[in-house]
Amino acid sequence: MTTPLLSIEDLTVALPGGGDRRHAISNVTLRLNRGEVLCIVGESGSGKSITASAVMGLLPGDQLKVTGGQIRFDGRNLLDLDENAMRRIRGDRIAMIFQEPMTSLNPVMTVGRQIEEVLETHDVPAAERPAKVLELARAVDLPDPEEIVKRYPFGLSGGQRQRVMIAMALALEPDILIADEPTTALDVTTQAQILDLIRNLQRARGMGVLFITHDFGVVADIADRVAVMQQGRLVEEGPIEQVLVRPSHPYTQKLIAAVPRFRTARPEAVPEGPLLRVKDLTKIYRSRRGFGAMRETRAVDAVSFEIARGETLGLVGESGSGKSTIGQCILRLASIDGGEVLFDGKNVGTLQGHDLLAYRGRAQMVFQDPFASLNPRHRVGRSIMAGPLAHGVPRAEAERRMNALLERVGLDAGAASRFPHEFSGGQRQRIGIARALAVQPDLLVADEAVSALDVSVQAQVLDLLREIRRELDLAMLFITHDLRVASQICDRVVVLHQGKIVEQGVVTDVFGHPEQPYTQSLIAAVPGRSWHGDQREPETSNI
Amino acid sequence: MNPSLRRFLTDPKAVIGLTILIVTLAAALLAPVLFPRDPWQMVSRPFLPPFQDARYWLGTDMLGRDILAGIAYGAQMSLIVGVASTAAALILGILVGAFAGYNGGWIDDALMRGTEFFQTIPTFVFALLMVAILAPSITSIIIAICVVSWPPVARLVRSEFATLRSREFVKAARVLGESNSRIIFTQILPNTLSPVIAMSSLMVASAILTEAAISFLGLGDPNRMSWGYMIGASRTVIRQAWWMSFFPGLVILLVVLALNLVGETLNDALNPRLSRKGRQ
Repeated sequence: MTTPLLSIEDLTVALPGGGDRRHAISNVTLRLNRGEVLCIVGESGSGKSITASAVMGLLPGDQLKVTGGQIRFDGRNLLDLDENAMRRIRGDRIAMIFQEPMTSLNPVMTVGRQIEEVLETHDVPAAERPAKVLELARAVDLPDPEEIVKRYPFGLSGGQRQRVMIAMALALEPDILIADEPTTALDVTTQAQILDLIRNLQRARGMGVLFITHDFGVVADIADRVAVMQQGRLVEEGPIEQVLVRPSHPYTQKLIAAVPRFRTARPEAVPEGPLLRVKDLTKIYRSRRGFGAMRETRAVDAVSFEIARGETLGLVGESGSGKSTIGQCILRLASIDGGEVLFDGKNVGTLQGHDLLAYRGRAQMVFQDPFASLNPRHRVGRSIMAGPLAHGVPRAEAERRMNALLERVGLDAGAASRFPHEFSGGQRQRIGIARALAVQPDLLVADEAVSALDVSVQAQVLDLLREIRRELDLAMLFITHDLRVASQICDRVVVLHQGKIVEQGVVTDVFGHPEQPYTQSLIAAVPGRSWHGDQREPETSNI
Repeated sequence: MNPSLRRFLTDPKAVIGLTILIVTLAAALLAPVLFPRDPWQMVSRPFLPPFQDARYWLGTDMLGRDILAGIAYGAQMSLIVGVASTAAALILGILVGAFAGYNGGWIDDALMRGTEFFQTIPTFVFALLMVAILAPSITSIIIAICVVSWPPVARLVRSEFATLRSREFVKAARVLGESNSRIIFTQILPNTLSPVIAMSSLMVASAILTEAAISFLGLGDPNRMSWGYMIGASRTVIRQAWWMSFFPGLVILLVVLALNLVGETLNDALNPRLSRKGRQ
């Protein structure tokens, strides 16, 4: 075997005192060979990003210190290099791309200029730079390169911005590309394109790629080898065929089992008589650009659907499809510009005063971000009781409900007197669910309720939602961008694209035999499809 | 103990600042006990230099009044004006800012244009003018300082409200059916207070300076001893009797410095981004 391109040996990074563990990562040993994609996969807090930052010498030195081990690259230990020597290696020999392409780019500089700046920093002669910038823009498949390099980052889509980041990373033809969750913030079809792009560039240039992700679907699509991390330790490492199909470590097995898959069993028939009817719902956003004419955007365009009690309807679509806006219109967080929302026969759009308050007691919401959706200065008990108290429920009864709900969502009674920051993301989401249920609603709108959670926690919260819907005979509107999650929990789905309904029907029909080309392209872009197929038919050639 | 409070109390800057403020407060409270005689009364020969007579060890002014007693009584004036005008400005600023930020739209526009109107007038000249019109007294000084110092509070609170009102926990409160006033006062306001508290200590400092300047120009409350008045009265004899203006000036400097130290460390201790970084 040849010497590896990069080898991390026994790397240990200490956490400052007072935390729940002493090391951010401990004794991690990894090799990256020329021309291969090594995926480091793990849940939040597993130390995967810290490993990547350590290689780049980007750890915040006052808080995270490397206390042991080596990072060998090109015959040298990167940890021994001073800042100047490290700077020459960064960008030139090892490049990095990040998760959030908007904040990684300078908003007041054209993208062409930003790519050029990388060349300038590493002493490429001025005369050669413009041609090189265009060549790079072409290499990352940016449309109309001559024109796009003159634009500013806000004029580009998320996928295009990530392409610009990749162009900057590739500018000096590095030996190693480190990609830290580069597609997590992108839509699924864009994600598929970026993964393709990284794969192609890696093959064409023979780079080694260190790819950090939490998504086993992405791993299945891009990796040659996989390293699984848990709480700062490397628990399993090996070729992709081995780790994904025959994982040996129990943690890997648990993670892989938790990855949501497309369901094949047809859901039970749904009772008749809708609780909520949405008819031709339209929402228009108006904006004015400079002194120009008013621009109208139809965020939601004549959307109609129904939900019955005891049924979960999924709203799926990419960003900008209007799915969250529909949820907000239904709950009167946004005004309705056309059509109507009928709840139990009453028009929600015109409710006022007492009627609106009564409706608020019957329709509730679970939010996406478990960190932003609880008031950081209110104890959990107070947050849960706020709803019942606003509806005139006596304090003793509100307290009784709160205790019962905390127990129902799997938290101990002591949780009531603690603050939100003392809980993990999954626990906070449970608190959010308890808060919504405290007013005893009939309709629950879950807006990306599990999208911010780790995959194993995601499965638990989905189970909880499913059980609660059954126990309380709720009508549930489940809004998500993740088709696999939708397939897990929904009975019927509505596929949205740019504010319009593309397709709707029973979940297994829509995802199993999509009729519309847009739905087909969405499903084709779901990461790790070949591998999901694997679970049923063990022999596939794709991996 | 609350971690921000602990961070605050273990910072040497905060300890220095708090010590100076506590001494000043004690001087203000104990002035009638320590100096039972009226600070306007003549107690010794005029132009007594400091550190000569153990009874009047900061010396006396041109009318033989005790400088130390003047400083202690002046502390009352400064602290009352500083705290009262800041409290009034905070109440006004928070109400305007919260209402504008929470509602947005034309209400926001109207209130903010009103706020900007007050900001376009040079603050000190405006305050001076108001005291002159209202007749010099401690109440009119407090009102004048309040009127010129609430706009920054309103703008700060408004911008905090404008970002917080679209946060998910506020949406959740709306969906749960909480009333607007409840959302403003129990959900959003507690989350905006950290920067406001930090700002208020600097406002007290600038109120003390403004009061001193007003009194220096002779528009102070004629019945109350004030640091600004002491400096103003002695400016003509500064060559012969430096101590008459030096000691009140030094006290103003120390108190304003202390308030700035406290404000700065409060800001550090209450800033959640910094505190999180420190803990991890």
